[in-house]
Amino acid sequence: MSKTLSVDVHHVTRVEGHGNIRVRARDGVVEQVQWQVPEAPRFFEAMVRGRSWEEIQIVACRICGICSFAHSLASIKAVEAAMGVEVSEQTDKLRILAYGGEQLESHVLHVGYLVAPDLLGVKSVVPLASTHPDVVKTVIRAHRLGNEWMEMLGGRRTHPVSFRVGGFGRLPSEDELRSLQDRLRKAVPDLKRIAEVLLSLADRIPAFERETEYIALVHPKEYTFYHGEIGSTDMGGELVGIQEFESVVNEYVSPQSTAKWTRWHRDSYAVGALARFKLNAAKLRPLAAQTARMFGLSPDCTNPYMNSIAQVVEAVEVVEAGIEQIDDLLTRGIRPERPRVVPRAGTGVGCVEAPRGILFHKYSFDSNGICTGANICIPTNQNHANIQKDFEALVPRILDRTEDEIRLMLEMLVRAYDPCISCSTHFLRVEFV
Amino acid sequence: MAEPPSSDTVLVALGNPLMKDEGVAIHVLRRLLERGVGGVQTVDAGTSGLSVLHAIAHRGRAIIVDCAIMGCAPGDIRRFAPSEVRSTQPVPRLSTHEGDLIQIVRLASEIGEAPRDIVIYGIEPADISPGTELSPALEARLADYCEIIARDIWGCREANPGHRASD
Repeated sequence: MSKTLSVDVHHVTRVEGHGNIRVRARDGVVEQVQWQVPEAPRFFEAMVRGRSWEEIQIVACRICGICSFAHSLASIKAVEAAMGVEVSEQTDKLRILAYGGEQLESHVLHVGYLVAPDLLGVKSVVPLASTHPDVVKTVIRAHRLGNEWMEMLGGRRTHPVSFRVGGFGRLPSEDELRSLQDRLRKAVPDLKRIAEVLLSLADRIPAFERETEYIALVHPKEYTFYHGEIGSTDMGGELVGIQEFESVVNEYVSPQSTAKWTRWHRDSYAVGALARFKLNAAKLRPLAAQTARMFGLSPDCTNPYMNSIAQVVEAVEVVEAGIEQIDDLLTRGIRPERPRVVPRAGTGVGCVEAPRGILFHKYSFDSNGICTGANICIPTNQNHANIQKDFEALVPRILDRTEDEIRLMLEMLVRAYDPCISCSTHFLRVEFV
Repeated sequence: MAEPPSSDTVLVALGNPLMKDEGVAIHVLRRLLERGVGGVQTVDAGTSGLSVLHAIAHRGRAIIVDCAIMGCAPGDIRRFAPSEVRSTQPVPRLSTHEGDLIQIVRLASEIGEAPRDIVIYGIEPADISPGTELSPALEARLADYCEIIARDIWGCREANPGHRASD
């Protein structure tokens, strides 16, 4: 092979050059392959120092527009751990139910608006609205349900206002829960339709396997997004408490990235829907398990492109789970309760599975409940090193393809991880015509 | 006396109040809520750009406020319709986290859900860096932004789209 190649992709998924791809090959030899993250740090951890325990969620929920429930719940759990607050069973169940809405919203958004255009060979979902109107409308309906599910329980469709340390600021009524349950039941055919469309395009998902470590929350009884301990495909069944997360993530600095990278038992690991699936698949509900079987997705899968399919499986899972959870809540009845918190000095860790992977928040407080330190470790940063290792393995295998094909495969690979390099800025950028 | 707004008007604010001027629309919305926005549904969409698709669906009128890089002086506010601008986002496709507002409006039109009337207020930032305060340039004009948008909500539909609203 004598191929000489130069691929530069700026701004893979976002504005402002947040993620770049650089490939250089000369005479068939790969000289450089890099996943670069030049995004400026955001200093959210510094922003919460000096603030009261009551303000932490208000700041944390603005870190991301897509994962705002994840950041809210991780931060609230961390504050509760630091203050020694035990929440009621009702609060616990309502949070888990609410969080299903964010998983649905985020997964449908990613698979329907972003991955589907890749598979159909167009640049965005907009042209699909005229070529595949029924599919686009189905995706929008499912995405809208996720949005409204979040609004009903979080008080706002993003950046929730109902979640409080110790409980809820506003509880949903039983009528609202029944209405949501009815909509969840009606959403099942839409999710099946989305899965069928993706299945018809599955032969366009690149066949690329690479062994790596996968990390996710694991719970003995549930396919979990909220409770549990840290599991790894390199650890057998052994689990690590979330309080020990810093010894798991082992953050370090890479010269090609402004974001910190992580590693545990290998030189990289992956988090996200595929990691959760690999570690928890046996606990999926029937329809979700059936969806996984449709695609031949099994826990031994090591194809990172299949993360998007694992997201479809999870979208089905949270809808099935939501229907059951509402039954349970209605049987028990919604009881009024008021969060009570007495601030105290301490340090706490909160962990949830954000749609794109495991998320850790850690805060320390003085005796007045003023934050004295914070550490937030987001899933996208935990995937950066793994994306780099995927690139290094993939590029030599596809060097015989055209530059456009190589570029697309690498872009699709990055997008499969559903990265959230910086979702904190969303300004318009326009010129007048 | 201006006309009351129609009940199917929605006011959507986009941005992140943790990134100084990037969150100017949220500051505007908070200020407007303090003085009252009767008859208008308000949506703090934060940085979830794609939720705008649902917020504006089947509305008669949508007024969207966002921080915007328009090549104007910092602090300037401009009023325009989506058809009057071209998005210059480096990635002109919808991505998971960056809902290009102009593309979202196009998508809403394609599926027949777009409001009859969509007005965007863009506010040119002076400082987009971590921080919960607006830059002095925008803070000084916050009351003006609210006044301009409030006048629009309460019936100034003859306003000339595209002109520099603050001039």
